[in-house]
Amino acid sequence: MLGTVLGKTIIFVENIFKFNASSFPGRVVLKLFPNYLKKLKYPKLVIMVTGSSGKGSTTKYIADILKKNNMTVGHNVYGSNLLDGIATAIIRVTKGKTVKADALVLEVDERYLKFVTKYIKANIIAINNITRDQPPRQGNYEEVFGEICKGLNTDTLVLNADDPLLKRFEDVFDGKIVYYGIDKNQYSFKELDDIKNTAYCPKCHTKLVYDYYHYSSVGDFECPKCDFDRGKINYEIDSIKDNVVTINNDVKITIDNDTLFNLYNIVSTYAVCKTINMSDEKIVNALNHDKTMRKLFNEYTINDRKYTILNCKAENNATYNLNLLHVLKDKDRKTLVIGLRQISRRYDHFDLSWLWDINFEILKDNNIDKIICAGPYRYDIAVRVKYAGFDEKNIIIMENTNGMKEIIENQTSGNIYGILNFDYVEPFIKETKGGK
Amino acid sequence: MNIGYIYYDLLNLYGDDGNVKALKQRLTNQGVKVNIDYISLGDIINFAKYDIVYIGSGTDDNLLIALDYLKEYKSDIKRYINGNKFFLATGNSVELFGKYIQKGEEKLEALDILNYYTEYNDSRIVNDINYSCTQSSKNIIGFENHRGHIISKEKNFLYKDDNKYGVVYNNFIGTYLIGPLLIRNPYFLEEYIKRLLNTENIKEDNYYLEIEAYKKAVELIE
Repeated sequence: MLGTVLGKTIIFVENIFKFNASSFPGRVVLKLFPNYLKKLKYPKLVIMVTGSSGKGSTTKYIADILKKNNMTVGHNVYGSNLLDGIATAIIRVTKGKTVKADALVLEVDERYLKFVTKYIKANIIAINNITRDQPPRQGNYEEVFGEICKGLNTDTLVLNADDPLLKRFEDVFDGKIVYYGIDKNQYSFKELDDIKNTAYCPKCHTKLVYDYYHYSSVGDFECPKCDFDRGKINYEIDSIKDNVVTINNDVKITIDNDTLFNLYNIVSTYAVCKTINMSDEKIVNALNHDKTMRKLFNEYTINDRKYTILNCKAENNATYNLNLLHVLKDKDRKTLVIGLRQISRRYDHFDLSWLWDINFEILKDNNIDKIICAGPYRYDIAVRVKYAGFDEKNIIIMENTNGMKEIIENQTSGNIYGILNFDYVEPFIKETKGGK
Repeated sequence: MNIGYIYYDLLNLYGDDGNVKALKQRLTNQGVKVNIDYISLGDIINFAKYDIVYIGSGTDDNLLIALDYLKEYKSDIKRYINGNKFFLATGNSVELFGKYIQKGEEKLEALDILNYYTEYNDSRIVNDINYSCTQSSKNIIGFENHRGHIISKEKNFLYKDDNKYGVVYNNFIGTYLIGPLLIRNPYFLEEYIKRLLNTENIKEDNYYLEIEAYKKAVELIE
């Protein structure tokens, strides 16, 4: 088919010039052949993952497992998750009219799901979460929910049962729903002074009652008035100990890090793979010690001080909140570096309201020496931290990472946690490791 | 002073509670004892108790749920506002206090306390704003992200260049600006505190970080 030939040619040319051909070829092909995706013959297995965060890591886990079990996989590995990027990933594995892969594993943007499933029917759509994220683009979580509802062209949904917002898909989806979750564990909270959204029952507007929280309004909930609750869980992490998680009291997986995000990505991956009838053995062997999350989580030691990098997404308070909870697992003396350069790669807005949806208050009285606020929005970050009850004297303000190594070494103490936006991770690591 | 924070757990899309934190901190720095009542759906609201009432922004659905619950207090709210007490509404909650909300063909009765109504657009209005303000010597900066806009027959504008996105009546201020307006606008906040305390002579307070952040925002939004 002409579209395939054209797409592959562009990919070939882009590769020669060392461009990262992640969405341009697809864009050109769809422009010239708008129905290109409709005409292709797809593999029997099409898995899509969407939601506000974690979809990239989850699809990587799933694709890795399938590949390690000798399947060929088409996967938008570069994270281009709009229609153009997905088309590009598909062109890479297509010959003529046939997608020559055993499976497609696609990370799909929440708002673009409806455009993708217009052309490609999914066997499974996994939805990780819907949280406050990119307000200028997304509006709010209710609008995102509505947009996803328009794209549920799938046999099965795989959902996070701990998120009351996702339970609402039951009302709009007639197919099979598989639920996963995380049981109460040593990191759960009895109370969390951070209940912002969906704390009310979506059916009768009564305040939900929680047995425990994992973060925000995610946890074990039930409505005291009607029958709305967390319900039956098909696949559940029961315990986490020394980086080994146990699922359904039976299956043990050794993970690279025990951030809550990673735990959710792992159990979501497991639920998807079980839904396609993979054996526990195959899943576990492939997942054990998987390094997928390395990009988001990095540890090193310099001059006897431990550095932990926690990658956050600006405008997404959930990633920050989860990372702050991770910091607090460390009871020793700590110094925090909070930095970001750009609020968004997609648009120029300067809204920092989301900083106020991050529960910095939990840092109070937790053995924190200094907080370094860095980047063009350093004062906004500093104001937020100050209002969270942190003494202005212990806030260090820096325009960028230049000279930060010296400041850390001379003016701060304890383990260092970098709570960094994706665009601050590299500069920070470079600076602290000494320009290597 | 008593602050009533209406539906803090329902109408809080974008860090709205920063406004209440700002009031508490600044009033406390002035030596005022501050109590905040966090009010949920279904709680009984005693408007007579409050010196300041705050309400923030919500999703379209949640705003209408709030409207349903607030209708019971229509005359209390009217008395409160007419009695010159302080009311701050940010984000789309400003829509609640007008006569009605027109969404396409659908016309929803609002609280009918102030003389304006709301019309919805097909698309969202998303802007960083930097407006001169009738209630502050310095410009107001912030962010708006909403579908509706106010239509008012009276000259009760909050912003000098614009009559769609803000309204003032007595000590009621309604603005489509979302999020921590009082944090991001330290000059406005200081003047607001003066009005609250009904004096020009307030104790000097430290706004250094806030002013630096404000300056940066003004530079960016220009």
